[in-house]
Amino acid sequence: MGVKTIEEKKLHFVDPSWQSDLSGAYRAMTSIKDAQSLLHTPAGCQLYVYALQSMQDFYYGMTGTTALAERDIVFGGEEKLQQALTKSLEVFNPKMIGIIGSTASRLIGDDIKGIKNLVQNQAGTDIPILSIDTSSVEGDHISGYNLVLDALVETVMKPAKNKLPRTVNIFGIQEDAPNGRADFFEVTHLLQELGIKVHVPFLCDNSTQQISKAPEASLNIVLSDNLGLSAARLMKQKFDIPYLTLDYPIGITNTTRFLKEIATYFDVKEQIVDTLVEKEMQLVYRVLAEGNFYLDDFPGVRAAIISDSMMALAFARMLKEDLAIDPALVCMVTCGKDSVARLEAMEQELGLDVMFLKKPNYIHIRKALEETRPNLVLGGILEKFTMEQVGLLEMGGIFMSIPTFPSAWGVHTFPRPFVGFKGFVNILETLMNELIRFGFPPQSSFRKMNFIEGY
Amino acid sequence: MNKAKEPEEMTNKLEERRSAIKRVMEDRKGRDVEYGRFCGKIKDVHCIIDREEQEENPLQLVERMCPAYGAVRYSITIPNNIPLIHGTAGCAALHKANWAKLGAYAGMPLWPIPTTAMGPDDIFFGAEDKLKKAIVEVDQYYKPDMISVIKTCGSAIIGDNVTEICHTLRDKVNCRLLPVDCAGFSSRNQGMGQDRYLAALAENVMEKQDEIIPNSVNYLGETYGLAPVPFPTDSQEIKRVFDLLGIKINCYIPGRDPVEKIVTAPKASLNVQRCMNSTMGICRVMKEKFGTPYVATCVPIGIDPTTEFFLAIIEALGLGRDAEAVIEKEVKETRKALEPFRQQLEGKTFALTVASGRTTSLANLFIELGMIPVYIGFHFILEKTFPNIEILSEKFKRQGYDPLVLVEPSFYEEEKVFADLKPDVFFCDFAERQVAFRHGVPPSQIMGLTWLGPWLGYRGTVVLAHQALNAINNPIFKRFGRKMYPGTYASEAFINQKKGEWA
Repeated sequence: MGVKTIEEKKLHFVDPSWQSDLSGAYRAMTSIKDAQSLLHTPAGCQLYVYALQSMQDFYYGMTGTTALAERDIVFGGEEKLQQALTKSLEVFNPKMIGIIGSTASRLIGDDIKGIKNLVQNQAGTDIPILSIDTSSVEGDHISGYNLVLDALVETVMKPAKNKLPRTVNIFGIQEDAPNGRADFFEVTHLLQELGIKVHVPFLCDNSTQQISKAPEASLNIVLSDNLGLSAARLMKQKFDIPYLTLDYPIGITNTTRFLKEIATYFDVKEQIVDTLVEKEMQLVYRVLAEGNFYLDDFPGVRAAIISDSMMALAFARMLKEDLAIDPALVCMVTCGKDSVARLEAMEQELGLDVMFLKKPNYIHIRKALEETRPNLVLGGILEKFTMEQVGLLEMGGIFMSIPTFPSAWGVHTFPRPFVGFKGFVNILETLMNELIRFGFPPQSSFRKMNFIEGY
Repeated sequence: MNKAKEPEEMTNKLEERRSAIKRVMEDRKGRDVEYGRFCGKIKDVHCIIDREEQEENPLQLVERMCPAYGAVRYSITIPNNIPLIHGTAGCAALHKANWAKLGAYAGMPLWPIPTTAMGPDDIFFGAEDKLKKAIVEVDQYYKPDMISVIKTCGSAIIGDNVTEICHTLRDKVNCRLLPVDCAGFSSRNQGMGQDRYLAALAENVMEKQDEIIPNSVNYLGETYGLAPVPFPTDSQEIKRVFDLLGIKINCYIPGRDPVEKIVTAPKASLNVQRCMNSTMGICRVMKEKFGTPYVATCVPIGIDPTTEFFLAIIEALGLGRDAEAVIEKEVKETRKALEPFRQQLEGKTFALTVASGRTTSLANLFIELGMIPVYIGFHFILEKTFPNIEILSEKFKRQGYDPLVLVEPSFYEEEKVFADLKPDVFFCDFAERQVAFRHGVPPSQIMGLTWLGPWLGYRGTVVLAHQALNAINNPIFKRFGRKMYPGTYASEAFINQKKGEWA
């Protein structure tokens, strides 16, 4: 492999940077506004994710847990699940229910599918009830998210009577990640400018009915090499909808490429794309002019990115191509099948010198930060703490919160997306405002690195 | 309107309280039985004790954590102590993410939360060997003073023997090992995990001491405010009064004091509990093993419970009349400070849902401020909570209040409560804020995180009154609260069925 990796000693413990499949499935279900998630778990599992979501840009709450107790572990929790499902129909009147399994329910061997069928027959309800086979024992949050998306394709979507021309479904954005909803809006806006309508944004403010009609779209766009890819493949197989896998449109280069590839697919004139790019770039020029003092500091700055693969790849390209910042460390908390190959290709193409970690332990993240000593770290709250622990903040290193769940830092709500040209303005402003916090001229490591030998 | 009590009148009250405290404290030393669901009036709550089988709500949407959460929470507050989760990676990751985020707000330190990350093979073949290797590696890598090995759902179900493993490895590592059995399904109460964690400290870490320090106490169960924050914390407020009384804190367990200090905890003359739900286990073990006496008071929130808390300690340490005079002065000053708040809060109705330990103390406080209880929710009830409930029940009866009581309420049930009862303010924990907003009820968060100052002790009482007034008068809550979140948790049909039945 081209990219350097840190020497990872085989350990029998981890300090994990990824979340469980249960967590991902729960988050996916709670992004559907008229669906209820029912966790077949002990009480704590539900509140953990709920607590994290309630502190981010998220507000749906139709959830419940069977709160498995000792007796259920001994005698089985099927009866309780049956009661909970029946009561769910009465209390929430949901349009869809997703039953999410846990370590406990997996180990005691509860037949979730059987109970689901039983309740559906007894209650005579035709609402879709998904059985999401999560366990926390295998997988990560993206695989949990994918399990829900796949189940939606299998259970909720109906074959389209009519295909809607120039419409797309979007996969790959996490609504409850910082600015996730704003990213959906921005992608929708950009596509609209090309005359393309977003039919179903998966998963953002969706209704069950909207999801059922997703096969009407003429194309699926997957902004990830992992999240939503299996659902897009399933839709291709089941409903014959083609899909495009594109980079997350972060930064000028990624966004322009995103627009051009879609324009090519839909036969939109090149001139229309160029006009749109120039129109959107006006705001970028303004921020570049206003903050031109700081631009001197960017070339040669070393950055670390710790996030899911799609985000890590997109930010790496944006930093190098748009800001001349070197991605020195890339940690992919979750990975797609081709993520590593794509990073290697990018390294070749852009001449990067990257240290790479796949699904890393925090021990290794810490060690890698100590070795690479980046001036800029993009990640979540845990990365900020790790920066602090290794002394990077004290040395004037800058932290920037990016769309990663559950560890956001601060409040991130519409209308400050990360994607598109507006997203680039947001990123630039954040960086420049972080720099100015150190005074004028900035005393951060961005400046120090230009003067202090050996840093 | 009640006026501040005159000193003589107050002394009589103290006399009354002293005898009441003695009686109630003995009752509180009961078993740790956790009761199930209840819906009714407070005078009838005791009926759940007599049930042959406890009622359980099969569909819960609750502010309840699990025992492992409680154990991790206490574990990370002890310096250079590493919690090692023997379970799945996802379980440990949620602990870490929650504590990073919640802890950041609450000034908590962030520690690594390593895990054995049990996979399918471990579930199938057992993970004891993996755990042994992990313990040795964690010891080598982090060089901690102690590793708290926390058993969670996965390892509990397959029956890995964490205690035995810790026992066999004691001579092979350079730190202490603390096995804690905290499977998530073993309770719906994080307090049980905290209780087990502290009891494990007494059983495995503490050592018999030759000397007992006069007028010294161990302060048990405080976790917040360990890192520097720009306001006084709960433990600082308690220490302030202890200083006035001439009481020395021998050990904070958990929190701030390192493992080597915890070893010497039996030097204290007395164990003092911030909240019985989390600390009765350690008190019992220390009493039996080292003879350390303890007082079983309620959470020192509000004037009366705080007074009871300090009087019980004064009595147990035999500090005498001078110490009581300090308390009388504190009470007098607090009543004076509360008076402006009372004038504005009097007659306002309140709903309250928190963990059982502090529910009664808080309800008592808001009644003292002239507010009217319409709904009291207990996240859970333990047997040792009943004496406090009886006292509160008596008080309600005397003042003519008859609020609705729910034990283990789910959010959707509380929505029905708000629709029927329309309280002026809802005192709650952090996740329940959204329930209140959705129904146009201003929430006041009185558990979990604080930015204003202490909630405990006399000064905490004033902070709570201030907070109640802030919530009621907050223009944002009033104007936009209902619009901040779309829809409700429960369906309209559920909320409106038997409309007004809880009014």
